[in-house]
Amino acid sequence: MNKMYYLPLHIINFSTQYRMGCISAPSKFIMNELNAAACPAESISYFSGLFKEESDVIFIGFSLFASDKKTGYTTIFSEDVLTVHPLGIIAAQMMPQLIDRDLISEPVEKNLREKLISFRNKELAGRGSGFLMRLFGIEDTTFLDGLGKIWVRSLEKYMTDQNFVPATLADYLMTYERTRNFNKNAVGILEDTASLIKQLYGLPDGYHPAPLMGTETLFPENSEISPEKPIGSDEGENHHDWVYLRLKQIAEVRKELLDSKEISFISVLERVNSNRVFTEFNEDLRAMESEPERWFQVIMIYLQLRSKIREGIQADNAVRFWFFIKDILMIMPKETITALYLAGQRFGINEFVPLFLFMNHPPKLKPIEFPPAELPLEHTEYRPARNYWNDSSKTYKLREGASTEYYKQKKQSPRKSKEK
Amino acid sequence: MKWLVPYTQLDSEQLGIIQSFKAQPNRNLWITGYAGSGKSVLLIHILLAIKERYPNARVAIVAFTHALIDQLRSGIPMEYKTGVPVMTPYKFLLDSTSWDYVLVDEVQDLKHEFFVDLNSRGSKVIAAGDMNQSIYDNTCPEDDIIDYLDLDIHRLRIIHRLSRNARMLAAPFCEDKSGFMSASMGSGVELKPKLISGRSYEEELRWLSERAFGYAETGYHTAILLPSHQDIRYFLRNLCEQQGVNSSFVRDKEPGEWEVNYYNEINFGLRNAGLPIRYLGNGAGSLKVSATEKIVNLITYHSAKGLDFEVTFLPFLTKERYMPSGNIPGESLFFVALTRAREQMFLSYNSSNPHKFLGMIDRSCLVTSTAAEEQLKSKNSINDLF
Repeated sequence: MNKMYYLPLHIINFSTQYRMGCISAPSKFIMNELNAAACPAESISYFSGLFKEESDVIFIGFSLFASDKKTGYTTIFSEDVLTVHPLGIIAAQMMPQLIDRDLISEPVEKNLREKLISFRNKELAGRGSGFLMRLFGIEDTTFLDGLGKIWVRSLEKYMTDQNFVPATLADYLMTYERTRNFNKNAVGILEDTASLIKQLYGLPDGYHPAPLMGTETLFPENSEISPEKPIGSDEGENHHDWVYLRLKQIAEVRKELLDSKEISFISVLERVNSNRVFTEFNEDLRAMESEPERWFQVIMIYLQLRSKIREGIQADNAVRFWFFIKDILMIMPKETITALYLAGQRFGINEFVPLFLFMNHPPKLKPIEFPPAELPLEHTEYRPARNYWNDSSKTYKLREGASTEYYKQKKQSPRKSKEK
Repeated sequence: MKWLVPYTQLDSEQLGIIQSFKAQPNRNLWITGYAGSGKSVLLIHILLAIKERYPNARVAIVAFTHALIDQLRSGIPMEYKTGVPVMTPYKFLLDSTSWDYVLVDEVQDLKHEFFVDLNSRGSKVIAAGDMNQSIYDNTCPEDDIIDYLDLDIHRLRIIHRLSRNARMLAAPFCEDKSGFMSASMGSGVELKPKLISGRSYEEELRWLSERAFGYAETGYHTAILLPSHQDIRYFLRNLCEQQGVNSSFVRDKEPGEWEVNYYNEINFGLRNAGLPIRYLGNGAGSLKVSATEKIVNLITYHSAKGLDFEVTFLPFLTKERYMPSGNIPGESLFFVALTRAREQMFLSYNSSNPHKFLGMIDRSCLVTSTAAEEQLKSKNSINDLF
């Protein structure tokens, strides 16, 4: 039997080239063996792009090829392709009808498959967070270096097993799901965060404070949160009591927010920023090695982003998503950057496709909501609710004609003009 | 409606099918795929592709249940709403209009005569359906459907709606278990379904009404699924009694009485009684109204097919619970019911006599609790708010 050589390809790439009679590839990427050691990750990236489904990538096997030393390229004629190896049995079953089934051979070995999947996961995650950083003009992310490693570990665990038992804050952020009928507005995000914190601190359901209870271990094993600092400002107060009492205060904040009807995410976040109970949680959570300091807010922003991403970033809501992030970036830059980084890694680049356009075409400001005609003219000049201009290298232009002068010339209120 | 995924969010398989349709718009297609793979969504996107290419094309959509018709209508853009009728197969057969395209959802539920008629009209057909969800007797076999309409089959292999745990739970009831388990998964909410046991019907009912009404009140698209119309009546009478409401409007159905009238009367009674629950199906109730008025949808397993909800409750899974499906195994019907939740699914039963299906479920994919524990949680302590 002739010696076999192998090449990784995206299935669409293969299908297209195969029909054209030959497959062309740089000679240096041809593999002598079909195993993990013989397959450099960059060749996967080069030939298969970044695949989404396991069935997207194949390895073709062949024994004959023609190399051109001048160009460094190899040509494999379609008739010389002898085998097609999927990444696994499941991938083989899922493989679309682009390949002659007779060509499909045994799947690649486990190590090779795992190497590729791990590479894909890391690459997609890195591209996701990298894109969000670029999109919002965030350059300094050095404070995230320590967090990045912890987060990637949790992400890897989650990618392999969505039911893994969380041990660290990063794990809880990865696995937390809403299990109660929390509010479907921003207060629900506060409730989610309190629920996550409750799980992280291991407070049992139905717990009641009991002053004489013995000290219990607050931190789950291997927790990223330092157990060195005792929780609770009052001596003799046990950890569960400490958490319980603060959750009780959060419940009061929640009630006040619901009563006040001020339930935009920004207003909830501002309320959290100004309340002592959250500072106390943050002081405890600050044992995380890296910045930022206000982890309660990071969790809130991350969960809010997760919710929006899960709803789907679409052409019609991408602008709102963009402005939403710009708004919270203004209030809490480090916390927002951290949450953006986590969300970008968690969901990967694929979820952000509708935002690609924004890199070089920042969204136009929404149609201006004009004040009533009876107000003095100086009030009719458009001013955005927040100053987007000074916080980024990008500038945004007012819609043409949206100025005091324009309406002075028209001598009528813009609203009336619009109504006509 | 949230279920209609926009074009930019379609996966590569779904986009591939649309491309394939655009390349050969005269070919008849069958889009198949497991529950939650986006078949109905794709049907609406193909409708848009047809209208984009042939603005004057006469297009009709056929769906087996009124609830599904309601959902499909909600996905059609306003500009096409009046020009694209969505109808039951019965209405389609009564109507002799000649259509350029007929889009058929849940195609596996239809009988021979429908396909004979459809074939004779010469319309192009885009069908969607999954034989694993076949829950009616005397329907047209898969091979015959393909023969009648000369369909090109396109399979969707990515399940978007279900969590991994929900899939594991539903797998024993899927005819093609290995295929279902090996399908690729989306990146949605990963919540474990909850299995709640009650010591009596009353206790289970109390827990169910509190939780389901609570979810609906907070704005979650919620449904209670029951196997039969008889179960619906029994449940409503007991609910009325529990809530201290006269249940005389939940009478037995008269022979020959139109179901839509019968259930509209019940819904009217429920509204007057101030109960936040409405029957959905057989032309009664509305998905849109249930979302805006924050009420629980009460629906049979059959009528739930093709629909999805954020939160579903499958209560009273006891031994005597009959899964009525004629010659079709009850497993298929249960499979349909188990695959309707987008986020959270609750199953509940009386601990003294659980249904045999509960014994087939892998408990590792569930969170188990009792109705008493769950009710205590909500009242016991301030931290249980979270």
